[in-house]
Amino acid sequence: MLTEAQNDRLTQVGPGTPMGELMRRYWQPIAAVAELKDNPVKPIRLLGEDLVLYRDEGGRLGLIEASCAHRRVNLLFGIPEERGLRCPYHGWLYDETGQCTEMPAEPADSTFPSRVKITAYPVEKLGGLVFAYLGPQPAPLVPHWYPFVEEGRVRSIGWTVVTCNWLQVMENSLDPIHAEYLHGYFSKYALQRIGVLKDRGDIYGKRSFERNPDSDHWFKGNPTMRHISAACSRFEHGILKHRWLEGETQEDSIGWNIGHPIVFPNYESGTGGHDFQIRVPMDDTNTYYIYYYADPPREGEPTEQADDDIPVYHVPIAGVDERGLPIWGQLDNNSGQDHYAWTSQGPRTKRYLEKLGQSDMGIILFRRMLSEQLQIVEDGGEPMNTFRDPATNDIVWLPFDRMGDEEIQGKRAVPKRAHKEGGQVISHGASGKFKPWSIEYAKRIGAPIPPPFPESARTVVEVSPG
Amino acid sequence: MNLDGVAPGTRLVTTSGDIAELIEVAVNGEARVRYVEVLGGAEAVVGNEASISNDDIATFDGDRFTGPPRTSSSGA
Repeated sequence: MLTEAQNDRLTQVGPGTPMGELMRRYWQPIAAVAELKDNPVKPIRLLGEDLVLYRDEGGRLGLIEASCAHRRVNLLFGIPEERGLRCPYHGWLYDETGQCTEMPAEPADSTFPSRVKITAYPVEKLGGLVFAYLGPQPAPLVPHWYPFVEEGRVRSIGWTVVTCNWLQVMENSLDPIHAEYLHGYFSKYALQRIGVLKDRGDIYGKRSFERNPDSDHWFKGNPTMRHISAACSRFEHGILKHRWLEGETQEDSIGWNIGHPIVFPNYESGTGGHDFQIRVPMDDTNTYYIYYYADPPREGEPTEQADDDIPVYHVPIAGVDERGLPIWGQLDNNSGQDHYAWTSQGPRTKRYLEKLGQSDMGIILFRRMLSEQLQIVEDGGEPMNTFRDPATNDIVWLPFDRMGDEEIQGKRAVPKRAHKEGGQVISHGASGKFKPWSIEYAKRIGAPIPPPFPESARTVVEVSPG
Repeated sequence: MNLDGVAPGTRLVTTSGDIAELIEVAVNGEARVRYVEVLGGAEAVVGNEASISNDDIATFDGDRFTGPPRTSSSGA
């Protein structure tokens, strides 16, 4: 286990903290560009700082501190002008550098505006996302990970706020074995609780699950993933998660031999191979979670998308009912199961009480990597995945375990999930069911659509001691 | 972790994330180790020797951390 001080070192992200300083070396995605179309001012909590992101009428983006320097009014209610954001209270105007440029109530010849500047950070757009950089200048380049820049894809952006510390979300990605239980046996239990399955089978797979013939829900019935072996290895951009599964030979297992990338410090490649799950620390106990998809187009589907036209949708998060009990209808899909697991560890889990085993080797490796990179920053160096040479940042490919053998660097390979299933079905057990285009497609082909997401009375973290 | 046949001097990773060099394996299966890098163990100090349970050793040190052999289908 870690000591309490070591847990703090890895999890606290405010200004001046070791992890906060490491996270400030990276451009962090904070919004979808399209969100600003109807609401040009968005509140942002990032690395413990309260900010507002705005798009002015001249089309410039700005990220400035949330409180007006004058009387501390929240600039969330600010008015976007041709250049900058105007405080609603007395009309002070700020540009994207945080410089106050107008104070309508002060004398016309006053030099006061030139002496007032609030905190502001640079922002850039890429792949339909807005990225912010809170670190020391000069800023590195925004990394061109291939899902953000690859041509010929159809993009969509889901988001949610997970009410716990970022590290317990990331550590889930370094834990290959949980898929066997949380997304396997527990998932079948959840489906049993809502009547889709008659029998969940047994945890070791000796007895298979059995559908409920009376259920009107469609369920594709994936067999539970079972590992023969699991491992995690370092690669130049982070950690590869390796799985050798039952039904595969070790030599032919792509998951074992290539692996599934976790991009340091807070991205995981999604199962589609051209998508990311990104975990941005808002503060010590909240994480802005992005589901970024760059899917292959269906036949005839245009791939030219303006940033403002990329669909944005909210992914609901699992909670509990008024009695504090699980709402099983929220737990029939991978996202719901993960959300429940992360938040039930508490707002910032007590790693000084945990007991890791040998199967937690990925978590151990990730903590070692975090500690190494923290030390690099403390010694004045640059951590991994900071790009400064445009020549190495044209498009950054990652290895991927779901791609064809012939293109192991992932350049044109087609992830089997995206082709065989992605967008083709909408069902219990699939987290993609929240994608707007999945729902539209299901309606068009007459596929069953899950019922509306049940309302929660409280969050899981509120009822979890951690 | 099963330490049968593991040579003295081998670098091991503890479940706390520390790196320890194997000195010897005792008859009771405990490992006598010397810490060479400390990440997490509250009691671990670089250079110190300690006896730890082989259950508290996660894997070999290196670029690839491999989990324990699993026979999930055979169950408990």
